[in-house]
Amino acid sequence: MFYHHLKGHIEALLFAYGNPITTDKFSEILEVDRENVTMLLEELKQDMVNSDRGLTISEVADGYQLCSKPELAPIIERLVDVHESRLSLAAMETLAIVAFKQPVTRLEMENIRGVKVDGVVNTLTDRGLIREVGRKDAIGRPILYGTTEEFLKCFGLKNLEDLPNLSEFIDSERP
Amino acid sequence: MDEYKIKLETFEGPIALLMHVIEKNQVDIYDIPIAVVTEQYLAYIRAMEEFNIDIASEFLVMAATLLQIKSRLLLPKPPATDQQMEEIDPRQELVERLLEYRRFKHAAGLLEDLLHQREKLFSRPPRDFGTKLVLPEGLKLDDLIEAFAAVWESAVDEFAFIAREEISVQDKMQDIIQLLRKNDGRMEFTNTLTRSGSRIELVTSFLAMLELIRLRRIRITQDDSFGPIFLMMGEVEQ
Repeated sequence: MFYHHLKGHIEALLFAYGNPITTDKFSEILEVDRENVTMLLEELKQDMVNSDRGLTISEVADGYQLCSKPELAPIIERLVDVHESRLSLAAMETLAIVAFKQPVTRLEMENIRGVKVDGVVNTLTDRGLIREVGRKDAIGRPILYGTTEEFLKCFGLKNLEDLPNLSEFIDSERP
Repeated sequence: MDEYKIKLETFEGPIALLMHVIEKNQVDIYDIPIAVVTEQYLAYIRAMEEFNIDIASEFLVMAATLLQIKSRLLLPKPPATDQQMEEIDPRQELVERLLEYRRFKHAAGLLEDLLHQREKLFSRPPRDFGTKLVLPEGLKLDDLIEAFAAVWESAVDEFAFIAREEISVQDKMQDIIQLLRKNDGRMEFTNTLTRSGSRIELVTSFLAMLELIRLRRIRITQDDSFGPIFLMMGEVEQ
């Protein structure tokens, strides 16, 4: 392929940046159109899969990010104590509501969960997983919440459309 | 039902408890045997009372709802009227709430799985490239004098428009939370003035601090009057 020599460039950029990089950004830096960038990324990814390399490229938050291969997680965990700070069940449920129903108000979350959500909403905001995205045009102008880019990164999602389809559950609910 | 050995779990709320009762009995969510479910729900609440667990009022509201539905089902149905009104199952609303709750419980499980998968991938934190300060080369003293002269002679407008700095309390609140997290949850108030340090920023920052205290997101201490104010993360974790 014509742009073959740019694979190394891409790898270097991914390594240097750490955060996900979008195809737009690659295309701007390398002065190559987006289709070719995507192709190069795919090829690079394949090269990594096929070899004994420890790294892989993951698609996340509308971009590409250099990561260690998932099967190597146990090895890395031997190197360092992986800091675990789990989200509580309550936080997880509330986050699910925000993710699938956004934009959504506290009251709407409370109606579904049947309990107050003030504490969990604060926790999720502090963790940068959700944020205020506006105000609802209703009495009291309640705050609307939505998910953040950090949420996408945390959950390894390309974008919000990458979320599993909720309607699938609805169909599977009928016995 | 001779289920009297009750294993007490903590339930997030009445819906979670009701869901548990339904799942344990493996009953059809669309056709809840209300008498059985109500009885078991109440048994849980009684057990909670026995163990001196404070029962949140929402649990009691749900109990009342269940009892109301039960009694409505017991009442003889009114003879069909001429209008042939579609009869609404008193359980309908409850079923819908349960279904919705279950949907998001599933969704939470799914997110949990995604998180688990993602946690196996390790990436590097973004590098701080900073700014490279390069000293200009080959400059002579003459150049400096020339530059100074140019500035000196250039006409300076008598009036200039200075854009008003807009800092919202909202922004400042975010700033403070983020700074606190960076500083292990403790910092001095003056350190929150990270932007221009203007009077407007000072006021906004102070208002943001007050707002955060009101929301119990942070706590403050001040050892003596006019002494430094220390900000700390509040306990909002649930």
